[in-house]
Amino acid sequence: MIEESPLDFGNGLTGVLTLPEKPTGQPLWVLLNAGFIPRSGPFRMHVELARSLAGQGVPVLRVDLPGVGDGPPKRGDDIAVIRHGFDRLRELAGAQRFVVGGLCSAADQAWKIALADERVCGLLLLDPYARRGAWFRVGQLKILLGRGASALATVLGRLVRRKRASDIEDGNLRDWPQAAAARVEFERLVARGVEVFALYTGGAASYFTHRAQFAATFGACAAARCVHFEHWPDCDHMFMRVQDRARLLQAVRDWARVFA
Amino acid sequence: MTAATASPAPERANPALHEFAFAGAPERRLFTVYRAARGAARAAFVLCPPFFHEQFLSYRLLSLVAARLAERGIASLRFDYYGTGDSWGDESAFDLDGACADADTALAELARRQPGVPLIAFGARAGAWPAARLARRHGLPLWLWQPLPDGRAWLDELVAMDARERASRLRYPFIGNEPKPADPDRLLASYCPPPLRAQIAAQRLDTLLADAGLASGGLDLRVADDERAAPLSGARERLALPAAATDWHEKIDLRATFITPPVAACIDALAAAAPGGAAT
Repeated sequence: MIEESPLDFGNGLTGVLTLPEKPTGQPLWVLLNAGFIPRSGPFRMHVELARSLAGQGVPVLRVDLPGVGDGPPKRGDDIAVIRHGFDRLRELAGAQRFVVGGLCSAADQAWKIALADERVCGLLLLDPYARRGAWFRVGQLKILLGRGASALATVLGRLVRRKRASDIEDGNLRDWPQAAAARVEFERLVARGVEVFALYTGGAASYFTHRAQFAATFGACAAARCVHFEHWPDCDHMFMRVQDRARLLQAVRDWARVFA
Repeated sequence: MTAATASPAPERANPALHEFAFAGAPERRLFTVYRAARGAARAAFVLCPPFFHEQFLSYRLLSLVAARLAERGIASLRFDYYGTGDSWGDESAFDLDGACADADTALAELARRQPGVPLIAFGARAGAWPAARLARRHGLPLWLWQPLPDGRAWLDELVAMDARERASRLRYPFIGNEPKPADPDRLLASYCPPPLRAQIAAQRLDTLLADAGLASGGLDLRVADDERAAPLSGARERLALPAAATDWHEKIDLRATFITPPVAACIDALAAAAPGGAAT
């Protein structure tokens, strides 16, 4: 039977630790907040993921960072808060290695933590960074063709009127590296053997519309053995449909076996 | 009345003053967050949260409300209904009767932690329904935050919102011209089968409040609600929340939550109305 313990690390990190029935020596997973959504995750996704993974021997902590859920006010560097949390988890649960990640801003933070801390051996990236590029335009065209002639006419009309797109894009709202830096950072992670699960949903269509963007963004390392990439265009950013959440759970459970 | 504007109080820096724990019977364990008052508590409330997706949308807001009230001498116990949030149980275990039973469990846990302190039932949105029943059963004062007056009307809103989201090209850019199919057992991702929909549709806050003794003057009711909402008759105090602070439930996507000065003033007015407060 799995067990859950509420934890307060005392430095701004609070959460719920889900432990498997018996210790398995697997890395401890830390699920970070998806934007401002509390630790239970969008539509309880983190709760289901934690209990499901614990059922196959994986310990999971779902957290509230400062400024989210029950966390204290945001005051400084979240990365430092999480790394301190790693130290406490080593004391409390004997954790030596960590898989970090989550959705959207959680993926951005996990990326930075993995670069800063070699105890991170796995990254769960749901709608993480990607560069737009030419393949993005191809994907956009595919979306438009799927909407029929009227949508095409609307877009062509906009092009003729040269209406400017909004300056506020995902790159402005997210904590993303520069394109060149992202590729170098990814190479560093792959060279270290960090296992990466990168999934892009249809909800990321403002910057990711075509699966070829992944290789175009990260280069040859995108095909490394430690990298698992998926593109689910039919799924939304928050996994609102129960079928999408079930599919995600299964995909993550399958991927988690690389750490067993 | 409309509460005067107050400056936001700094949140408590000491995180040890709130405590997470599971409570209730082993087969129905509820996740709870107990927040001690600064100094000796003069009152304590149990907070019945909103239902479905509104639970996570409101989570930070209600955490901040509890924090501010704690600064003013009021302890609290927040909880997740069984099958929701961080509580145990599959989502299919959630229903209205269970939510009411869970509110009783939470109240018992709060009384255990704060013996001898006057207790208050507090409900937010659909949480007003179990909170009103709790107030009736235990003869407690009742505080409501953006209460839902009519279950049927709310259900209709959810059905419309569900249809909008399933057809949204922002949410599903690749869907072409066909919306995602409806699921008769779900509304906006949450499990809500026909029996639960029938329970929700039957909820009328005015009836619940009458049962709790509002008409006879036996219920001390305080309401913080959208300044545009129709007032609940019989409430001893109505606190007007600015529209910008009340629209958090209208979209699935969550924004940053802050306690602005007008909202802080409403919370302070609730604190003043609690036993031992300036308004009592």
